[in-house]
Amino acid sequence: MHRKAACLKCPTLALVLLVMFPVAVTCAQELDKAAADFHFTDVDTQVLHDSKAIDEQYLKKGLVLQDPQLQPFLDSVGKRIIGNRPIPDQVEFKFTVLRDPMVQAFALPNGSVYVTTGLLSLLEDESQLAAVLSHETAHVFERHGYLENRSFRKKALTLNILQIVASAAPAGGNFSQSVQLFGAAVNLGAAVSSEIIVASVFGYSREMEHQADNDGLIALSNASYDPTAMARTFELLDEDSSLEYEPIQGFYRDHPKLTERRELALQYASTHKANKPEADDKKTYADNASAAICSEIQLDLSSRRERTAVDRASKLSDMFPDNPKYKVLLADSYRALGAKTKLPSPDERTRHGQAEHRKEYFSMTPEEEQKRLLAKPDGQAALHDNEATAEQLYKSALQSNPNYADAHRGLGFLFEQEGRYNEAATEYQSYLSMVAGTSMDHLRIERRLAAVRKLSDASMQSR
Amino acid sequence: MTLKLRLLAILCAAGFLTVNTQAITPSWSYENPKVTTGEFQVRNVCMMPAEGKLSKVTMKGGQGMSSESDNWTSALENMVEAHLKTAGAQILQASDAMASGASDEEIRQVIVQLNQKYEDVANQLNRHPKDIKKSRFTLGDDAALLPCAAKSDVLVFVQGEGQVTSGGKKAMGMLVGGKGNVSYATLVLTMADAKTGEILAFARLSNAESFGDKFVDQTENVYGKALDKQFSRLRIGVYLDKKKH
Repeated sequence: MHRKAACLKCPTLALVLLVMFPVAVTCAQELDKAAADFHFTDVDTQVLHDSKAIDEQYLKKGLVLQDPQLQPFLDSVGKRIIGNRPIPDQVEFKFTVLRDPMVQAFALPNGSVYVTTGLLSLLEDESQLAAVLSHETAHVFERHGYLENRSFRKKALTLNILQIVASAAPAGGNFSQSVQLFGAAVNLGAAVSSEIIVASVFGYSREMEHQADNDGLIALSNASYDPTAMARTFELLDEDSSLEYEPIQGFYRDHPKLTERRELALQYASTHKANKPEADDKKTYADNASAAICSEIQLDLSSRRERTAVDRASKLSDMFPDNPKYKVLLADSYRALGAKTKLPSPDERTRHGQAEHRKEYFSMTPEEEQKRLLAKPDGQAALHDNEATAEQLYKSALQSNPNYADAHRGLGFLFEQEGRYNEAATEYQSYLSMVAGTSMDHLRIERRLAAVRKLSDASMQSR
Repeated sequence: MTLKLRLLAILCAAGFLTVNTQAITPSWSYENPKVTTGEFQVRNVCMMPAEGKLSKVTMKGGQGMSSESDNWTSALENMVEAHLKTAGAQILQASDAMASGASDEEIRQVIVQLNQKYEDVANQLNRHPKDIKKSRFTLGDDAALLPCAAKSDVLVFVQGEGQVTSGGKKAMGMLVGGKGNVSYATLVLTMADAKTGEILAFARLSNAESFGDKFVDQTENVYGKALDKQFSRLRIGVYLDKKKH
């Protein structure tokens, strides 16, 4: 309610909403008709075939996360959202988690709904997950994949013809330039994959997205979830985008604008009462999604998203303070931050700062980036703080479970990084004695142990 | 007059060819000297799951080639493996748990993590491949987490990207030119030290232009010789022994 009041205080946004609503309703009516009249053609069959092939490829490439606790949870939320609605022809709803740090969810036209570990680790409770699934399943119910594909093919043909006509026009003319620009965009899209798959992942037309939001809100209410969850999901997506530089912006972030979508969702929620989330909903959600969140933290650490890793691991560790696994993940994340601060500085958040970050991301390796940061006093201070926090967290994990091998390994990494080779050797040794050859990391730690022992001996001799 | 017309036609054809060949990325490779000198010996290889992507461009936009992509990826992977075997290298698979006791899920997670690291490093690697010689790029010793890494010298990443262009689109290309109107296929091969993760070799093989759209079914003809040449350069297996003699 508070947020709604804030919205109405802003006259520009209120005006946009006033104009948007009738337009969205008219477009939705047209789209509803198209979905109702839908019949399969050869082109659609190809799209269906492609969707199935993509399902197989995700599985084959090991991108599908299979967890005995998460999968039934995801299936139950999906089932509740679908309810008793008639399932369209050639659709079989399947809900799958993809190992991918990009914050994203998408549905293929055959009913395969994918939620990435990146998105699952961002959400706070079950109703937000339900909001995401309700939006994605709406795309399938409304046949958006097929309709967008047909529309795209018509546009592409027109653009190709225009391109030929333009090439015959006098060079340098405005008409020629504008058409070439469109042509470049089409070619870029075509080079990626089948357009429909690109559209499924990166977003449909504005009208289709609005329709999916509207249908999603209705499905959310019908399944007795709180419709404000959709608005909160948009808020989370908006807040999270400022944490890291993203080389690829997920569709959810700006198509259409999140603020606009959030306000529309709040408007709907104000007139539709539903169950409010219970107090321990967040904890239950985090527990159910923990496999995805842990996988995500590891992926974040492998893809230079240390700030995101700290954020996600903090969430888990705060909710389950007695679990040493989450403490060690948080410590690993702080250790990986190195000379970076936990949150971006105000300078980094500016447009110029983001542009600089972009340049660095593409031109510097992680090691070079750390070196550059360490050349400044701020970087040195950040490194000192992060290492101290990591050490304290590893030690705290060992206090709650002295036999937790991963904490010893983490301490070993940290001490090695700090040049405390003797202590690092002790920690690596403890780790190895606890895992006794059963760990995947046995060999690497044996090598590191040998290396730090050499370094330790060398430093003793030099003294 | 007829002669002039013929000359004009030849000039036009040459012009179109120039436009089209500009779209094709040339082949090149960069290696760390410790591999080419034989200081770092490659006899055992762990193959990371290959990644391949084919797309078809027609006048009606792009078309999915999911199953063709899948087949092409397998063909590329098999071909690279076959040539490595011919070179005398022992092949292991990254997805193989071997005797490590690691679960399939654990191995999948490590593979995805390593691919993430590779994608990240590739941002700089693609821009400055020459810096391989300075040992600038590394995946870190996480590479050693794979069970196959214990018995391998290098991890091999195979990536293919190709575009098949329809007749109509090619005809349009002749009229207007441009990069999107040519069939092409590029095979990228990267080798990383299985212990430290250091990138040791990075090769881009692009030899599909003379095969038109048929490159999909002729991977051996398109890349076979180039691969042998590359492995000889890297002194893999028997090539190392040959050079010693």
